[in-house]
Amino acid sequence: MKRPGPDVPRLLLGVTSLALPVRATRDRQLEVSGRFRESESLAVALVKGIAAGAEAVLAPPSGAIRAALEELPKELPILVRVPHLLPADDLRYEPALLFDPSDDDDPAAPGSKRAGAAAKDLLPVGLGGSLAGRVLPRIEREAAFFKPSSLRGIVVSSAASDLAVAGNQPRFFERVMKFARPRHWMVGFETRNLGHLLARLTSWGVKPDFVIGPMNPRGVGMMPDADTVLTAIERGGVRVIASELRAGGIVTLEEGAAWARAHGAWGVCPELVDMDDVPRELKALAPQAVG
Amino acid sequence: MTRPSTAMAESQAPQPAPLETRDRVIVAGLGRIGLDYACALALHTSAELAGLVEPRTDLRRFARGVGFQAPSEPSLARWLAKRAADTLFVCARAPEAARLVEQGVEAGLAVLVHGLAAMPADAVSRIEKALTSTQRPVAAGSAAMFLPTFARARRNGALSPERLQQVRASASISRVFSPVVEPEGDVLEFLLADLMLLLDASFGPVAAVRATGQRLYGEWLDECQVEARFANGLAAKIETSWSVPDYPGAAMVIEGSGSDGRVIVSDDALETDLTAMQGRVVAAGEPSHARSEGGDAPAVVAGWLRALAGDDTSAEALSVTRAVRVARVVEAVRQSIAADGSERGVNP
Repeated sequence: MKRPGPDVPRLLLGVTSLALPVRATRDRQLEVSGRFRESESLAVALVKGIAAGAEAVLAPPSGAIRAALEELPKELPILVRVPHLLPADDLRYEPALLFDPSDDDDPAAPGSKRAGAAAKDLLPVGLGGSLAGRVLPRIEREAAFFKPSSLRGIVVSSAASDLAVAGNQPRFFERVMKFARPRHWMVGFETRNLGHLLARLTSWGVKPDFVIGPMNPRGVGMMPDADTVLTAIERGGVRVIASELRAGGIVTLEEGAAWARAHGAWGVCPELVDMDDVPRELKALAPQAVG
Repeated sequence: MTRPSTAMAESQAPQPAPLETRDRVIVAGLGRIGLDYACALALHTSAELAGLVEPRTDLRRFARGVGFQAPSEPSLARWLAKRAADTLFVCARAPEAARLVEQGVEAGLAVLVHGLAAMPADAVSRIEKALTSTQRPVAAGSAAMFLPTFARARRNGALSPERLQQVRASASISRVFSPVVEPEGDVLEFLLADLMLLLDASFGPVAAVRATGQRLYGEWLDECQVEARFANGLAAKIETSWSVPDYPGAAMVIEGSGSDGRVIVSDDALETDLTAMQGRVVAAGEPSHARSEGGDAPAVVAGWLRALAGDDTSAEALSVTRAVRVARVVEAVRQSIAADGSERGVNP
């Protein structure tokens, strides 16, 4: 018998904006990161957000998030955003995903995992080193950052999924989905190129549980352009959870979410940086509140 | 169905006609930036990612693992011996970049070189010499030149030496806080070069600088303060730091005042309080010509393709002359820091 599909959330609470650059004014980011600097205040926001109707927290595997969750006597449903790349990765010449942080620092050390990498260099360029092969061990390790009982699934960060979109690489998506299925994880792919991703998924015939990408009434961040994104969503096929609802602060959260839903979004994912009163604003966006 | 509206769409310049044929581009240097360019090219309908050049096997393998099927070779000469292309995007580090530019020019390719303003003097001289010897299109790519609020301030004249008498500028980011993270370069390469590009584009060439710098976490410069004197007599105070907490993305700010009023431009917003011009424009509300997002490359790729199609504004944003000039300013800043802040003229 075919297993029923996962219950893809209609409302997520995103907390990525605490650690990574997002499309909001700097003053706003500084204000919000200051507000949640103490793990207690972040914990309160998370638990109230879930109580208000968010079905899961979309979180990177960061120390700040774990510290906040450890403040709580109960577990919260988590979608972990992986692989977690840091802004400081841009200090290096090489792409961040070339390296695995679990590798030993000294490649010449006896037993170093880099010895394996050096051996790989002897292989022809076409062999070894698929993107999925590089990313999946990181995903597994970073997902283990959260308690298995709280983990609902994974969202592959745009740093990896957009590379695979540009590389026209369906195998990456298929392998991630295959990897997650026996673990009973939902699988979503975050993108900064929603129109391109949806077009690729359609042409490949690949259908993840959902994708997350920018949707807002100003078309901000909707790539390659807003019309293409909306046309791709109209065609259907993959559930889209809309992010960047406030178009970098130009429109209200309520307006952005209503517009995204009216234009085919399955769900919405407001970020902490989008909200002043997390429980009140999430409650207003909860599916039962908007019908 | 209501389609999105862009508040500033009415102020966009006329669109250049699309290119008649796709620009066949080789990306040389498959580090992080080179991959960004490869992605942006792969997602643009006016370009074709024709090939990849990278001497390091691990980086070529990474690009192949991502899925790029374009032919890759360890050297440009080997690539060109087998195939043809229109354009070379050079994303390698300085010494290798100079070699690639020379080879690309010799092969008759159009050339875009990324990060020229941050390169050391010897590489810049070689690249300048090569690029001035060709009649093919050439460009120096920097995403800073496509930051929409600064572009608008240049277009509408809010940032101009005629309006402003005092200028302050800063660039801040959170990156280096300990010697454990050893960066590739220093704050001059990472931030100052881009800020100086914006200042040069607004106020013209810098004639002389006095600078101080601090090495806080290692052997590299983490902060610097510059007093720049422009050729037109305008003076600017400039600060850069890559160890400012809570700035995951770079914050660029240019602030000016004069008898006509005040202007503040940042990558967030443009605020004008001038007699002839008042208002606030936020970056997210500005039009974008990029066809994808991810790293520095999409805006530069869009600018390159628009420049090829005849858009003068995009061509100006990719000016090699300016990038070379700024590279010499950065060199003069380095010399001034080494000479305890004494004034150093900028070589023309």
